[in-house]
Amino acid sequence: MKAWWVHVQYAWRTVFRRWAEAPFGHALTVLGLGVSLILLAVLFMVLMGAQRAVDGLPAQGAVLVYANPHASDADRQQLSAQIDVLPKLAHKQFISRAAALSELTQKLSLGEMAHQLPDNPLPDTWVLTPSVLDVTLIQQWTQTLTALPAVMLVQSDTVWVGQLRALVNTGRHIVLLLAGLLALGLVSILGLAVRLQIVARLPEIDVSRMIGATDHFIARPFLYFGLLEGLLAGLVAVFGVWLLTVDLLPRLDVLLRYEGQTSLIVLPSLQTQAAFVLASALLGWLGAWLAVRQALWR
Amino acid sequence: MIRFEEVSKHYSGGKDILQGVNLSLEQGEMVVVTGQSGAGKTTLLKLMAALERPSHGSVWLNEQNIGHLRRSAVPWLRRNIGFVFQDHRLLFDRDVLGNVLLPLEVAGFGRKDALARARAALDKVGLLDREKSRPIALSGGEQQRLCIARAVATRPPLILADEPTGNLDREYANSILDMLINFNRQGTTVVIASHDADTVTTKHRTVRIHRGKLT
Repeated sequence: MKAWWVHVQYAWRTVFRRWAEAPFGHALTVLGLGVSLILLAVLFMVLMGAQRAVDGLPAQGAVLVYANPHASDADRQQLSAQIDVLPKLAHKQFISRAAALSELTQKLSLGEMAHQLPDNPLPDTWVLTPSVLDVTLIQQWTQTLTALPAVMLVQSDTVWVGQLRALVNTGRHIVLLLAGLLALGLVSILGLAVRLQIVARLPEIDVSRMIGATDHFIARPFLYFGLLEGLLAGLVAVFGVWLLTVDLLPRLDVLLRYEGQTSLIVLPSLQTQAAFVLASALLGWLGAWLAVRQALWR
Repeated sequence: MIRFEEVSKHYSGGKDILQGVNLSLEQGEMVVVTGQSGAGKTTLLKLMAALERPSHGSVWLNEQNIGHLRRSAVPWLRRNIGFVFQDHRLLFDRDVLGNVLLPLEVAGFGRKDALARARAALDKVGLLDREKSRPIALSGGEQQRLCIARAVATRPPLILADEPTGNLDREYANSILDMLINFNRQGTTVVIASHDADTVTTKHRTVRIHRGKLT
């Protein structure tokens, strides 16, 4: 245990000594990785914001069914019966053509003009509300109802919400894919940096082996180096995101306040930030491990 | 302490470096292996330190067959051996003290203990006042002394010195030999490989090697 702890201390001293030997180069690597991570983090935050916005939309949109004014009573009864057996129907409201015209007349202050019309041009209407927002369900309703002779038109204002959700889901998949690619990039860049270090330190590695160093003793400083660079890149990214949100959020808030919306971008929680930094550090370690495994243990 | 039984060593496509070597060294002995360049002296030392494995035969170190050691066990064996390399193998990006500290760090000595031992080793070879210097700033003789300090820092029971006086003038060579003799007097087993027959002192056992065979 004591020897292990001594070796750990030695490895960290070695890491800091190597950092001190070329601080500018290492700082540039960390900065480059950090900026890449910032872009990913911001993309993620925007996506999460969009997700929140979509989640805030009414889950139960309405489906409007306009009856054919020339439909027979039997056809109307068939329509009414069909509406009653629609699956996952939460609520239905019937607006007669007379009530619709009256409301329209009032709203638009048409007054006498409405009475001059030879016939009421508005159809009887049903406003149907599903219990869940499911595009497939709405499409099924539309198909069923449109086939009835008493139906003139079926309109839905929920489809676009579903489409928006699908769009956000697609966006999430794209961001996850980008995150995977970026993680691969981080692993590759740090792996390459560690590999270059190994090549530069081959004489030291040879001597160390000859005087009894184990593979773990030799590998440990390189692994810690990868861990440190990954950790620092993660911290740079978190700091960058914080700066961006501090700068961007007030501007967005002003803009969104006019629209009656809440902020699209919200600074992630401390736990999320910590997880982000930890993931970055682990990726750095992974890159170093791959380089060490390839170069030293083969 | 060390026993060679019918040891041969050859590299693929090359000639036999050692052929049927039988040799036994006792704890606390000082042995000088002499022979011309290419005779197999360095290979003999490398086999003792498990830096090479025999092609045939067995090398025993403290009743352990080195040829059968697991790869993971080799480093632990090497920590009990101080190796003075022919080409020094010093680390030029570390200072003198850092070079001597390396085997102590490898062996897991605490920082304080390691520093004390490293400075004691440097004191023994007369380089304590140069601990902050870089090896490049040292003369050939000083570099060799530094190499010896690194080899003895962990106080190993066995020191293997490959041409320790190789490129040094007589005065420096004698001082290096005196140091190794002193370590031997303190109970350390010392094996010196040298092409220079004059290195040999009458007091110590000499093994001659010629074209891979002991004569």
